[in-house]
Amino acid sequence: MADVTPLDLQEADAQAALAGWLASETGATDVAVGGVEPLGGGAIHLHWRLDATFTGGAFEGDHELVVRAAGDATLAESLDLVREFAVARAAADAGATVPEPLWCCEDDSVLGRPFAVSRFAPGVAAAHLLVRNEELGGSRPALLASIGEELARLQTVPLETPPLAFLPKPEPSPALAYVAEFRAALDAHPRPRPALEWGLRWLERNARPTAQLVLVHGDYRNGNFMVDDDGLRGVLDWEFARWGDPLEDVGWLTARCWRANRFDRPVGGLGPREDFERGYREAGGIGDLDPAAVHYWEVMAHVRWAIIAIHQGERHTSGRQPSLELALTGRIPDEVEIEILTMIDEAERGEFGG
Amino acid sequence: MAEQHGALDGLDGVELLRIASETLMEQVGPAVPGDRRYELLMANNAIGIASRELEAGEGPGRAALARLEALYGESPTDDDWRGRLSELTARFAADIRSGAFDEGPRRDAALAHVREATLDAVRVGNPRYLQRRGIE
Repeated sequence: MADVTPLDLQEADAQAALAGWLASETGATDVAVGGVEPLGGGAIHLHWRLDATFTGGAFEGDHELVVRAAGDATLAESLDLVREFAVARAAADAGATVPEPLWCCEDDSVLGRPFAVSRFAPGVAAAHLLVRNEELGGSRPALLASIGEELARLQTVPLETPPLAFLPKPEPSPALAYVAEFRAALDAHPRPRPALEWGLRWLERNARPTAQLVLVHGDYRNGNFMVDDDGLRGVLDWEFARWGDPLEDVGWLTARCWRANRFDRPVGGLGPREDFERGYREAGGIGDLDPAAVHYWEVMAHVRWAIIAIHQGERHTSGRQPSLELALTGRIPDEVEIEILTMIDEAERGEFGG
Repeated sequence: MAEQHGALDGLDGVELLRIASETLMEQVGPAVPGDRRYELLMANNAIGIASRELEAGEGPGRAALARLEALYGESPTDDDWRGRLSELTARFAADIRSGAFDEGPRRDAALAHVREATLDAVRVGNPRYLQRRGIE
């Protein structure tokens, strides 16, 4: 990705190339593209919203679309845009609420880089706004229940979905595969981290077996829920998807590190566990929400976040991406480690659900 | 470091960072547009961390070294204490991984060290977190 040419979809040439490609994809005789506006949000990819008028073909009429193009930087641990599109498509096919993935283009001759097109979904996805503004997202119990329902639905994506054959299956189990992955990450880091080692040893000795592998979103939390005043409008950011344990996303969702200081509201600082769990169970969620097992996956979530934060700090210190935000993120693992030690202590005393 | 001229006049690094932070927040802050406020707060946070780190000095590191030396029955040394701390910390991390502290009499001392070293880091990085969580 080092030599990609800059892309600005507000330029006429790029719009003409996109319009021509949309016409050939849909069998339209003409596609008019206008009203292109950049969208913020993604740290890796570029996003634009636009209006497209299709003449003829399967998409005849006016449509509001979002174009997502591969950014200049990539994260080694995340899926590329084409694979992410395949995951979002599979989740949508399983009934999950996702901004409808429409087409994906791997041909660099169109926009100079791969891109994906989805239907525009109105709403905002911002963790802090959602935690602070209780009006946002409609009724809180209903929002929490739909977060549970969505998770149950995405877990119905069949393991043998051919377009998802690229997603690895963790060996010997999701829990132990994570432990090995995180230890390897720590070994690549110059400074030893005894508290994370303590957490990993506990996770290894108390590893939970996984009865059935399911599709894991991988970043299922408050900041990736697009909401409007009526409720959940879409689950975003499928680039960390993998096969794993049904409780992986639950533990990530309810981990203390995503509560925006509302430690009294376990589900992402939004509300109590009960509403979420009701939605998950009523929609047929296959995971057993045993409090000790959820607690285990919350410890895993904290270790994972600490590892990610260490990586972000290294993006600054290596000189690749000098950034105050990344530098400060690199100091966060200390407080995450305190939480890990606290949670292990709680587990040993049989205290769960905090 | 603390023996330099300015420091003797009460103008040590901690004091300079304190007045820098105050100036940034009280005088520059009101002129910063809303969409740059996040950067302002991050810069101020960074100043706070640097100041607490300066104030803590060698204390946490030397205390960590003393705990590790006691854990491993090594005699205290003053030569290259930082190098010695890195060495023992690496050994400690590897021992945790291999299960040396899973059980037995050294487990409590090992856990106490992990906890104390982590607390010292958070006291510098984000002491408010410890208050919010009721830890301190």
